[in-house]
Amino acid sequence: MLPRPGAADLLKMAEQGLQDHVVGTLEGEAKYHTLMALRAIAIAKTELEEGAAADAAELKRIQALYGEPPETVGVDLAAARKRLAADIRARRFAPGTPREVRLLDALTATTATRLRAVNIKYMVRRGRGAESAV
Amino acid sequence: MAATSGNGAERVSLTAQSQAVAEFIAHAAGAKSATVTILNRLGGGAIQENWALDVDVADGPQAGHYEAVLRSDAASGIAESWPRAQEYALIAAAHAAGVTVPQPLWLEPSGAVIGRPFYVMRRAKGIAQGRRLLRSLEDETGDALAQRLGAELAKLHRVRPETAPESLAFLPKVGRDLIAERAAHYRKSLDGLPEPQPVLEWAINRMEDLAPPIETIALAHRDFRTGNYMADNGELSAILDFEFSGWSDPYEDLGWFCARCWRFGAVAREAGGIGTREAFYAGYESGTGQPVDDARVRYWEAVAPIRWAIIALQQGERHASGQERSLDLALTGLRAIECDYDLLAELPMLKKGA
Repeated sequence: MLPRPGAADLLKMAEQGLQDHVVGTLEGEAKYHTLMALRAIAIAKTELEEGAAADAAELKRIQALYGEPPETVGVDLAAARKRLAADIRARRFAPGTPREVRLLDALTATTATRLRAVNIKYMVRRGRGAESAV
Repeated sequence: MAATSGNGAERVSLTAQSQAVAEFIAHAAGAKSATVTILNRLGGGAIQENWALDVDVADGPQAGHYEAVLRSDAASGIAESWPRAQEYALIAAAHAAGVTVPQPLWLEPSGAVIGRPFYVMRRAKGIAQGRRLLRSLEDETGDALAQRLGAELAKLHRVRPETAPESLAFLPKVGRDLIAERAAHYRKSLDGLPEPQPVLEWAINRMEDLAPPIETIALAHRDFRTGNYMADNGELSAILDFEFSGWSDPYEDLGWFCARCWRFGAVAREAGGIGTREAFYAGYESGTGQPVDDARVRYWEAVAPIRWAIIALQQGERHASGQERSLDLALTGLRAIECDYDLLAELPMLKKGA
């Protein structure tokens, strides 16, 4: 819709402006709210830059789990997620089976991508535990 | 929960209602008059509003000066959270059991006085906010606090369904099929959310498959964690937030307290981010006279992120649905991703009967 610089760059500049010129001058509630806004900007920036590719990768992972042609699983991520959640609830991925291992691989990859976008520090503290567990 | 703060309009509105609150307190305290000074809104309530106030009851059996907190419902809540009248009954039961809680003073359940139900309790001194509290503690003080919290929890768990006061009759009964009931409840909660949650669906299955037999049912706090108690110079001053309390396996509280998601980044201090697991267990054992079954704690600890994820998603939905627009709530919703990650890391390692 807009010419350059585009949404991601505008967010980046807004983030930098707040960090360089505002946060240091604040304390208490004002600082708390500004830091929260900065966190939201950082997450939105990552979503703009990486969201579409991450969604495509997640859809591919779900399609691969079913071993069916992608078009039978569906090409819509929301519908594929819904089917996956329903099949897990219906216990179609029995514990301790290769099918469950593949499921956990897929869920872990998706979750790790999401967590990198919202709170990479949490992963640092975890030492990437979830990814090494499967 | 993360601290929230009210806007200017809310502050003015409660201040403007101080006379109505004073008249209610005078009546409830059997006095001719009382005065109320609203001080400020306190942080730490994502579902409730907490206001500091000073109360002077002029005469009658409860005459005196009270440094107090008025706790009322916020604009919107989540289904699992008790309304104020029930929470008041829970705090009163904990107080009667000798648990260090703010003394409950007066309950206004109808909503007629300020437009929503509220109660007033004594104000405790100290810090509740998790990260601030962690920064203020040395290792030794943290262990002593963890031990004290273990002992307090043991006192709460002495309240049992068969001997409970009539005021707790509203609590739904639970039996040995607690885990199956919990799983059904979680699935129903997920059905109420707009987006499917594959990780949580898998984790709920594991929770059922690995469930230990339930041996005891007691009054559980069900949100017993750092952030929900106050400490003054490292000493416990009050356990707070009984809004989720109910009958459960007492080990649920021990597991919740030790869960990684409630260590506020201090992951090596396994007891609430403040102290060692050993100190916390020792405190609990001093109150029960029984050794802590570590495997049961580990089970509840490993499944704790399921419940926190659902609560976080519901909080996020309060914002996303337009019920209560708040960036704080929106970001709380995203914390469910941390829970997913913990579940995927911890649950594959948990064994049946572990």
